[in-house]
Amino acid sequence: MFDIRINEQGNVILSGRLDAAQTDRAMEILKKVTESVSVDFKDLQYISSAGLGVLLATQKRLGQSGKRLKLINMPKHIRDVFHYARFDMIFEIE
Amino acid sequence: MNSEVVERTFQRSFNQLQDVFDFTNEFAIAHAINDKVRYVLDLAVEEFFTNMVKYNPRGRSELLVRMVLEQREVIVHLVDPDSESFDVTKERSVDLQKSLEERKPGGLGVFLVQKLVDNLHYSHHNRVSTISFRLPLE
Repeated sequence: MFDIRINEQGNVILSGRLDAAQTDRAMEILKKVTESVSVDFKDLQYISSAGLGVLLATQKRLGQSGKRLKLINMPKHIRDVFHYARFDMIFEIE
Repeated sequence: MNSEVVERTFQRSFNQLQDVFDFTNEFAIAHAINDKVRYVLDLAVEEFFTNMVKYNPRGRSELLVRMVLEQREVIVHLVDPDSESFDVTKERSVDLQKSLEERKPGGLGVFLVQKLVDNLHYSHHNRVSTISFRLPLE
């Protein structure tokens, strides 16, 4: 079960499993982000390359106006995937 | 040598992904597979399954996923019985050094799986594509 929401501070909260069947839903919410915000991975159990693609597209769009995503509370197994993909060079991961 | 084999076929659709994960989850629970291995199992199966759906949507047969528990490793096979050749063991042209503006997600999934699984193998005979890989359980 995947969920994505924007909290009162404007930050993005992910939970569950972000697979290829969930990318439209993720993109629908991320399109609403227009400022530099944090994306909280604490309750995200799984992400595939399709999910990475959604985050990459958002980071590119925000980058055009000098904004960016900061990824926080990332579990180690997901951080390993970001490292293999060299996405840790593209995103600030805290 | 004791081994257990389970297999299931799935329609050629992204909507089948949850059923695919239910299948791998049943297997993982039955064999007490840890979360780290389970993550790689799901990632690899998703990347290959979605590739088969995306690049061969008009294939006439369902896609088969087979998992074999043998000793202390899982051997996974994904079979597309009606497909052109697409060798997933070939080196992907993913340029990891490119800047944000230049990066594209295409090919990233197969590239990641190549890094994460052992003994990735591909065969194509009589339009049947078979992808196989191994995951040590410890």
